Amino acid sequence: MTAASLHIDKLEDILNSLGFKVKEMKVCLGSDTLNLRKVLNFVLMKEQVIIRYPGQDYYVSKKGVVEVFDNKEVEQVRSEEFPKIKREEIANAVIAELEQKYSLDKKGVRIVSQAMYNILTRQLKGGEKTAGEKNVEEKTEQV
Amino acid sequence: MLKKKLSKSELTKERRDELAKQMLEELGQNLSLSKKAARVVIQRAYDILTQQIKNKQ
Repeated sequence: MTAASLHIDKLEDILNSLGFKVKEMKVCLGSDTLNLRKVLNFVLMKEQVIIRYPGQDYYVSKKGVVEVFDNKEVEQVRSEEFPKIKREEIANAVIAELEQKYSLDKKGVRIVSQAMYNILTRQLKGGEKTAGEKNVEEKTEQV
Repeated sequence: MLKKKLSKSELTKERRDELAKQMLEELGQNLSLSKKAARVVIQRAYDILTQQIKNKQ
């Protein structure tokens, strides 16, 4: 194995050495060789790993499942391909964190999550205020 | 004694935005989520909470 390339079979070895048991690999790359320089990064997400590679994201968990997602935007996990289970898991973790760490009740957590959503939407839109934010501001002024 | 939990009406807009920014920072740092992915997660959290609040009523 050269420093520049890595045979697809070796990927399994690497994952195994990292403590991930790969039960199944759904690989649909045109080539069976992964260019190490193009394997952008290993992103540790608690017990999961996403290996980002141009064209595909390899989603690996310690349960041994490997999923491959088409990934046109190489550098970001695309929201529509973000696994629903993972989404649910992180959402619940965010709720628990806000409830416990910041001592908020459910309605308090909900309004903070709404603010988070608005911030992200504004950033994605390039600074423009969201309809929800305008609405909240109007209501605040009325109060 | 248990600390009283802050409710929606007790949260000032400034505090709410401050917490939101703080949590988003943590999400970005700990999970390496893109903005779009984080937004999907937050949307889900909002839906879960709405359901929980509805069930409680």
